[in-house]
Amino acid sequence: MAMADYFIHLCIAIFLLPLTAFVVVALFHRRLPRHGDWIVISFMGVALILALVIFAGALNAAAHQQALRQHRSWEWLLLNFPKANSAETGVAGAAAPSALEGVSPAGAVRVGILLDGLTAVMLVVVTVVSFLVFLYSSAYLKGDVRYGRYYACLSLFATSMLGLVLSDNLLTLYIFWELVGFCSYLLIGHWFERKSAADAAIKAFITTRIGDVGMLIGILLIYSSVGSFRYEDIFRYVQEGGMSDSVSILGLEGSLRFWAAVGLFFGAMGKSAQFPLHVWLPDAMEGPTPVSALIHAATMVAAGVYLVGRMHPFFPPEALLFVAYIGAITAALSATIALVMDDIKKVLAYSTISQLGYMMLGLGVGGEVGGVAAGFLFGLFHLTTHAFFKAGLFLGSGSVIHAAHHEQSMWQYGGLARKLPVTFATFLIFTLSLCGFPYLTSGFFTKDGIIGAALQFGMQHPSHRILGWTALGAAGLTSFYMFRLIFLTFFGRPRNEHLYHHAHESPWAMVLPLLVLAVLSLGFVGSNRTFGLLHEDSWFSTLVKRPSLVAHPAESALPAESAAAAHGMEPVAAEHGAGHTADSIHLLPEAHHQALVGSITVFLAGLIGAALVYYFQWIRADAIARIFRPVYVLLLNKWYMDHLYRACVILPYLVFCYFIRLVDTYVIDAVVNFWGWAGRAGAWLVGRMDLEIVDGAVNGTAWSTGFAGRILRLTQTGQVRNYILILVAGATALLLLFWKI
Amino acid sequence: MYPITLTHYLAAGAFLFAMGVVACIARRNAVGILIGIELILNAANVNLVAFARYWNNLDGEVFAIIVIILAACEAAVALAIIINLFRGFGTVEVDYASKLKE
Amino acid sequence: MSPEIVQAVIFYFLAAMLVVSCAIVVFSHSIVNACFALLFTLLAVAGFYALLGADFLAVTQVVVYVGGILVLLLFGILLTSPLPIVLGVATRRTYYLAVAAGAAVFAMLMIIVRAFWAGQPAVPEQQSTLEALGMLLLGKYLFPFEFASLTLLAALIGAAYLVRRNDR
Repeated sequence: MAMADYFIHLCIAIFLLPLTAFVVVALFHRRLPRHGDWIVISFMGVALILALVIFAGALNAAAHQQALRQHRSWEWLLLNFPKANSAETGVAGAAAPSALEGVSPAGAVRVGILLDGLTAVMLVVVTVVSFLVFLYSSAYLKGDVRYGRYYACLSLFATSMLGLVLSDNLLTLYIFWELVGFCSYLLIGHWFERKSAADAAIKAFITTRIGDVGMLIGILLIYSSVGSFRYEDIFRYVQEGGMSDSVSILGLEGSLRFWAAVGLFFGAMGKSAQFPLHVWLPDAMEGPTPVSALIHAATMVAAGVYLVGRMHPFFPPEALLFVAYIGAITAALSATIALVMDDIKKVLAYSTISQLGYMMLGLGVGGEVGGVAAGFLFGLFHLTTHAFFKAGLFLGSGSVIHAAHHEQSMWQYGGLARKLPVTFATFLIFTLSLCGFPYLTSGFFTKDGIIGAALQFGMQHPSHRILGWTALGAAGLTSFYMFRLIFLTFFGRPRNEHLYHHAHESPWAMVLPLLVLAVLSLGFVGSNRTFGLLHEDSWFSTLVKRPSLVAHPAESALPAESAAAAHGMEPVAAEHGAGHTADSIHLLPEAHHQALVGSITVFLAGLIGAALVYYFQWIRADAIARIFRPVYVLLLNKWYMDHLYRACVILPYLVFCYFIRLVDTYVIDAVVNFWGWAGRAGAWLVGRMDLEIVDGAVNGTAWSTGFAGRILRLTQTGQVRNYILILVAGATALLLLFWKI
Repeated sequence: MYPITLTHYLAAGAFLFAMGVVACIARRNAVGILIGIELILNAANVNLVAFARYWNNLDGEVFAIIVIILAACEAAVALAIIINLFRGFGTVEVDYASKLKE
Repeated sequence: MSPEIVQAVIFYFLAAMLVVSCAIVVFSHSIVNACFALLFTLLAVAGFYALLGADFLAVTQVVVYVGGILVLLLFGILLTSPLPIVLGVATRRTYYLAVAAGAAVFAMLMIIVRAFWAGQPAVPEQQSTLEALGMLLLGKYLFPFEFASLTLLAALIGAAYLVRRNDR
């Protein structure tokens, strides 16, 4: 019990630290020295240390063959919907008292904190990246007009992201989800004087909101069936066969569970920028570069992946297939667009979308029935490693942009490796990690795992073989466009002499985060020989277990185990029952082999291709563009996705608005104008009467009032004593009048 | 004349109140008026406490405490106003400070 | 002597003190004298409280009124009055008016008191009211109590704001 309290209290502290910083800085940043950035940074540093303590505790538990799983919840609301009551009784033991919490009446909405391996990892990821980005921002945005507001927003963002990963239920998750989106809106529009930034902020907000509507529908579907927002209640309900009623939407037949899962995934699509809702993320690059690193690469966009990972047991196989295809399409589509982008941040933005697609693909093929368990694991693992190196890439690009006086086009760079040695070295490590340089980088292990899982999925289900090949192809494209970026930026002759001469290495506050992130992008993070765990599993797979519904025995609350749960630990065996061996997290050898060979091959192919075109320039880029002109234009216009939205969504909306305007002009205005005319005519008549008759009376009244006023003015002496005397006299008079003595 | 009953206390309260009213009227000094107001508040408090005892209910005493708090507030603010008055008019005689009338 | 007699003796002593000191407060020509007489008035009221068994209030009366407000008044007098500190009552006419009004008020109140509460016995209280008062203040009357403290804070800030010099 003491152990459990300890970690839960740390979680609460982690959540409250940035919240406090936000409140203080938001209210008082004008009065604080340096606008209070040191408060935000130091509080986040403390949160980082606490997160590391929790992480170490989780690893320690894993070393003793136990899974960290602590849970604390509080009653928040009491909803007495009849439906909720009946559903609550329908789920046997959904509200049963456990060792850690009291009895809750039916219909009560409980919210709380769930701490397990996944949460521990996410806490570390969020706090590490946040802390480094906060530190970096202090140099990057030095002297900005809204420096204090910026830090307040950053802190609020960290608060909501931490709240999101700490939630034990969909309700608070949704609340923090929206808060995260709101912070993103504020930060993208940080320089809202620029119209493009303001537009991008609105676009990001609305696009993610569209996804969130689906998510809200999904959550409400779940609540109306289950009567609870909590993950465990939902899983238990589904495990007992709930939500299997068949529902037909748009001619598609699916279980209620399927539709709810798709609804949730819509939210994830919006937040994690999955096709077709990915359009906001490239535009979001209008925000300050550290924001891009923090929100649009490392943490916020990870929320969608986290949601799918957290709710993974809830997703039926059909929904997971949908997830996998969306992920694959996203990965491939955005990788192709990244090939032709000139803006350094846009390239990184599209690579982010692509990598998020990978994660979704991994989660999608990691289904419980007929899926590849490793896919789930590597999907989330990739989320972790990607957070570090993508944050590093963005911060590195920020360093370049900072050095280049906010010039973002890669064609203006060139040869910057000599001017920015540290930035270049770290950037190279991040790039290698993103492209999957074999064995030395963390990205290699996780991406390789996802590709392997997708390939194995294709072996088990031959009709879906394309998923694996798409992933491999996109990996090759990744390698190509990233080295294109490297060659254009850091190698070759300077294409803009002026810019080159003024370039200089960034201050330490910007370089230090790069170095830390570079270390975190090295191979030991992804390998299975880290932290003294010299066995088959990587540290990640010992921490994060996929909660299993099939193998989970229905009567899980055995006395022996609940005693263990009371100590905040559960034996690993409890989560992985009889089905554990069939549900191995290890890939089949042939899939692993294929993925290894394939990914190394495409990595080299991409590298060599980029080198030929952009370093040695044996092949001229514009020649290729001329030959494949239609393709080039298609890519340059981002597959016409924005145009599609313009034609299909915005244009009809504008037409509708125009139509409404016509109605307004010719119908409503006519009516209004008629009444206006009638009113004027009437008013003229009344006006005549007014002048002759009413005014006479009014003037008379006014005169008599003025006369009375002149008289009464004599009593208003402005002296308190007269008022008191009058008061006493009045009281006496009243007493004499009404008192029957 | 004894035992002492509620009426006695009420009479004392009434006397205090009346004296407060007299002070408010007769005094020209703003501080004097303030003293009168304090007397009136004390009269109210005596009544509150007496009734609280009479009904054997402590609510009256709670209100008396709150009245004391408010009296303190009032005294502080009133003295601030008086000092401002002194700065503005060079006197604290309220008869001269009737500028708002004009 | 029975307790009632002791009570009566104390009451009449306090009442005499009240009447005399009140008269000085109201009719004294020196405002400083009035202030010092007010001290005795307030002490007499505190004595009433003690007699009524309201021990906490009696102490509060002494602490807040005598220790706080009275000193505040004296400061006010010292800060605002140029020497000599003699500021008498108003003109003779107002003077009579004031006494008449006071008499009227007293008469009215006595009429009402005698009509409704004539001769009711005061209930003597034996045990301390302190604990019960504390429970009430932090229980049933928590909000008014907190609100009063907020008001006090606001008054404090307001007073400080009002008397600050506007020179700069």
